[in-house]
Amino acid sequence: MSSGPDRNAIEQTALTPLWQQRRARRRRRRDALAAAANLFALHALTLGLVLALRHGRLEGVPGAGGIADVVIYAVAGFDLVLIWRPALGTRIAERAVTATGELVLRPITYTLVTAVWLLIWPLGRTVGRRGIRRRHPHIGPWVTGGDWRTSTWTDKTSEADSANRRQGSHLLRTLGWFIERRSFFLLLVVLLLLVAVSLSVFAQTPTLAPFVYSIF
Amino acid sequence: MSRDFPEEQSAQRAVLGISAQYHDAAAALVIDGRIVAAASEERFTRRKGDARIPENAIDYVLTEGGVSPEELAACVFYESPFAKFDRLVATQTTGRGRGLPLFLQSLTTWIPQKLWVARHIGEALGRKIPVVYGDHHLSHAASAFYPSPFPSAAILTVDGVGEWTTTAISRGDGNDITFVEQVEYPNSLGLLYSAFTLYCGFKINSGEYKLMGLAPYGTPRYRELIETELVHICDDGSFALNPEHFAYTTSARTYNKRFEQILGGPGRREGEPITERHVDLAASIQAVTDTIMGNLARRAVAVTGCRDLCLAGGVALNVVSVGFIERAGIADRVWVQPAAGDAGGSLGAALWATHHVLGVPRSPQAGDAMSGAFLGPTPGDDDHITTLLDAYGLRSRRLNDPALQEEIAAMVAAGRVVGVARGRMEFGPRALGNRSILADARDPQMQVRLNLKTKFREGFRPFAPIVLAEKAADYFETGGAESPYMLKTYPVREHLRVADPEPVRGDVYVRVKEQRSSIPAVTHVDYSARVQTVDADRNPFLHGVLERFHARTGCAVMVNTSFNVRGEPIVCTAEDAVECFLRNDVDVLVVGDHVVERDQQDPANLRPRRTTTFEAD
Repeated sequence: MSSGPDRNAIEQTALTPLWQQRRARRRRRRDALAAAANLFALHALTLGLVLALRHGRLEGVPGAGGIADVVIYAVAGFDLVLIWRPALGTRIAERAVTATGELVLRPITYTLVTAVWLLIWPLGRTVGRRGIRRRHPHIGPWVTGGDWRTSTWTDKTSEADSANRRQGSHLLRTLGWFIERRSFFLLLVVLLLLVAVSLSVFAQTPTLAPFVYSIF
Repeated sequence: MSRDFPEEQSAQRAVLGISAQYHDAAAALVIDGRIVAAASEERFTRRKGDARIPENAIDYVLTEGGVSPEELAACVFYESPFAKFDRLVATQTTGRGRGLPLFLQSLTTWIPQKLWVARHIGEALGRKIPVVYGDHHLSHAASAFYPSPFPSAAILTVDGVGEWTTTAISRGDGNDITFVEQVEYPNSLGLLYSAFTLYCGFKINSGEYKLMGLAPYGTPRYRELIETELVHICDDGSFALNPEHFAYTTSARTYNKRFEQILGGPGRREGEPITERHVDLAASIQAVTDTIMGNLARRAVAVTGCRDLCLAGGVALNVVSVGFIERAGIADRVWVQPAAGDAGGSLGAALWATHHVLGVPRSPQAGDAMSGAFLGPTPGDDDHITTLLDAYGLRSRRLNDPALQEEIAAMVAAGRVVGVARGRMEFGPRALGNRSILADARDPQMQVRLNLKTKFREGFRPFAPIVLAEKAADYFETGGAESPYMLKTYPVREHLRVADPEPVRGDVYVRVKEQRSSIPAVTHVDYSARVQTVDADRNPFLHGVLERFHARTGCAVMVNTSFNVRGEPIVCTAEDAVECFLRNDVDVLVVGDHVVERDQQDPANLRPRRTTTFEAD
């Protein structure tokens, strides 16, 4: 079978008015940019949270300068390529798949993660907005509009005093810090991370490995 | 008590406080409640506002205190990076996606670096050490209350933003500080002032002083507009900014197009001429700031029930507002932390851990516990200075203290400009006599000369006077209050003023040349002066110089400005002082006990050796 240009596609393009073609191109570029930006935020935030949870908040972070940083920059770098050169990003992904036989960089994987992210993002934002407005009521007019000419006094204890009260391991203290501030939308991201980690772990077990291909 | 403080205390309780990561990194060491040493990192690295982990400052304060990292009872960082990150996430990701680019940009510094400040501090100390996180405004409050002379006091801290808080009222009592009320981000007086600083063509975090200096040239004709459209001043002392005109929650810009439309057009760019509109804007925002600060101070006194007031935070460096609070009689006594900016947070964090957490009893001292703010390093010992001057090929004379005081007084009286670098360096943004340029305040040409030829800065900027504490009331309307840290403005006394010449509206560079009093070099256009009172307890050497100058001339006032040029941090070491002397037109350098006169030198040796250039601030 010949692999020449698709005549139907050419005719269809020729029949589409130029302004519509431009608008479609703009839309595609915008969608790619938005998806890639979301991915970047997801990767950076989740990896940041991994480091935060792993290493706590009061002591040094021995591992953060090593593999964790390399992973962060590798993922973030690839996402930047996807943002500025979507076609190039896709080609790199395809070559990586061909070269390694792995499936982590297949574009479909990114699409699925993006879809999950796009579902979580508005949900997290809504929950987050509520939580933030409860914790910091005077930010309301800056986030969702409303009357800004109100008294802005609040009465809270200091961060240092509340940190002093928390006991337990670094992990528990950090989670406590999230919960104390009702940052549940951050916990959603942690949940997504746990799902991703579980998948990558179980994908290597003989029981689940055959089904992983059907997911991607 | 937190688990991060050791259960068994050593005989000596040394606490290291650190501030870094945003601007003005610094370190401070407190041993058994005594402030031993404190210094800003910029003085060592020669980078203005250096925000990196203050390795040099940490090294200095530990050496000065004779303490090794192992002997520290605690190491405290002045704020909580996690709480700050929470604000970043909350404000930049919840606003319809507009903040996403800024959020992504922020992540590039937060994830690899800022969240792991404890690790970086451990690296600077050369060992892994538990680092306790403080609270930004609590650190400011501690820096203001613990060294103050008050057993209990109302504390007002106001700045751009800490974690979430931008303004806090606290009550200090004995060893404890309790937050009473706060105003949270995005409502921020500091950021409002910064927006106008940027709009008038100056840089944020360094141009605020310039805007404050510009204000007296104008009339506050935009005040009503600002109070109607940009900021709502509530009856209870709080304030709220109009979200429609500010962009800092979701972008790197401070204000948006609507802000510019309200104020009648785009802002001034750096280098463009300063017009009447800009000076009136400066006057207007200063008037609004005075009103808000006055209201906050009244609220602080009312809700805490204390008549003594302590101030800290970047906005507390607005000397005009501080003077306004004092003159309004809102509090019986007002004490301002000399390092009121973020650098002072390091000191506050260390003091908070010492008194509030470790329980070291606090005993307020008469005057204050800041040792005149002379908490930094000396320029070096005599051998070091002699070797240095020889290496530069500079001829010098070595004098003892009385002879040196007499020499400086004589040279200033003769119209010469003298740079002084001796004794311990000041902590905070002001040079208080140990890293200062001194000149004759009676010379009408001195302000222009110092601005343009010595400091290479804008000609309209005012200079501050130093005055013998016991003679201050003869020159300024101080009401009997002292101002040892140059943090308050007072009017020049009526009998010293000359008739107000016909005002030339708009052109600040013409108005600055008008003679307004018999001490014109330190009298601003509104007859105000940012006064430093010098007493024999805090700075006996400078007090002696002023006494001799007074005996010689009948005038107890001199010009005191920081020993640096535009964009350069104030000099720290003897070498910094020599290099600065070789860059500007200071006539005489006093470094340690050595006097170096420019006109006695071989011109071939009057060339700086460092190639460093300083970016204009």
